[in-house]
Amino acid sequence: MKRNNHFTLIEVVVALAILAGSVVALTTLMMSSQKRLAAAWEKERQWVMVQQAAEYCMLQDGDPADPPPEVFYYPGYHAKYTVDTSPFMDDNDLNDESALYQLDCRTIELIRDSDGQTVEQLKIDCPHYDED
Amino acid sequence: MTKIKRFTLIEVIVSMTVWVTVSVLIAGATAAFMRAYESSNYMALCLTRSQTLSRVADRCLRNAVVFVWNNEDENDEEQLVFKGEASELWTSAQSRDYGGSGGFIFSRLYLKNNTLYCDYSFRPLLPWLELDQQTYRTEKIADNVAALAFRYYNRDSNDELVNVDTWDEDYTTTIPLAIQMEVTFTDGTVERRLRRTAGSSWNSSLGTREDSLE
Repeated sequence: MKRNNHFTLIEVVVALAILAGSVVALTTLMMSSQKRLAAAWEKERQWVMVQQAAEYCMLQDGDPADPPPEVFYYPGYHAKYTVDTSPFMDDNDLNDESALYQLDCRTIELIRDSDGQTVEQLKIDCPHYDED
Repeated sequence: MTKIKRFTLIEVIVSMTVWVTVSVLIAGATAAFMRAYESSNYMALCLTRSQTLSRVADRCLRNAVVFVWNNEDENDEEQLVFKGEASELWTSAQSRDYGGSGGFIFSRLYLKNNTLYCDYSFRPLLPWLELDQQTYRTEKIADNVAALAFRYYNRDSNDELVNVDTWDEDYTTTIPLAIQMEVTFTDGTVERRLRRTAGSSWNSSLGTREDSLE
């Protein structure tokens, strides 16, 4: 008796399920990789932005002015500078009139406009020079 | 009598449903895969070129120092090995010494055929000499560049921070406090890298400090 050697419906369904599962797994892997790459790119961008703001900040004396658009033009973000006394200065240092310089701490913040969150921050200690 | 075995309507419907479902699933997954792949490629490109520009800025702008060399055409007068133009920059920068390279790197950044190049040498690359008389290597920094622009920052006589797009040729004793490189790509993205030159801040810089911009 001649026997037809065909795939059964179960075999076909199982084979297709394996194929679909592989494609879905590969796609999931690629999308996960894309998300991590996007996160890395976002972090790189934010670091470039805060570095750009920091470089401009360190070119100035006293209370630094905001960076102009030709230096810092990143829609959706802005930079904020604050100057405070360095945490490394204690009361004795601050009252020591013979000290040549006091130490300031400049904080450079990168703020996301959409939610007002500080997404990156740099603190730089530098000597405080009397403008007189 | 031979009986012809045909599929029943139910079998055909079931098999077509399975086939269509699997096809839609595979097509959707493939489209998502391709989108993710293209997006990943683009982000990887952006990441690479951003890091490359940062590397060049850190190496050639951040470490730029005052360096002079005798100009044979000008009675052997010492001349600054620096030339800052709107879209071309020659700098001398401190560099890690790679086994006898000398501790300095001399470079020229410029745009040619939509490509950003850096000519560099461990021996002085002199702006006043013809390039074919000098020995250097060339590195391709970035493709698809539509424009390259430099800005030079310094303090004027009132101690105000100012910037110009060309470093004054008559002012030959020092380099700017900071240099910004702005690269515009053909896809419209703009990358900027501002770097204080070696040791420069509000109050300090290496080399001679004078007010150059009146």
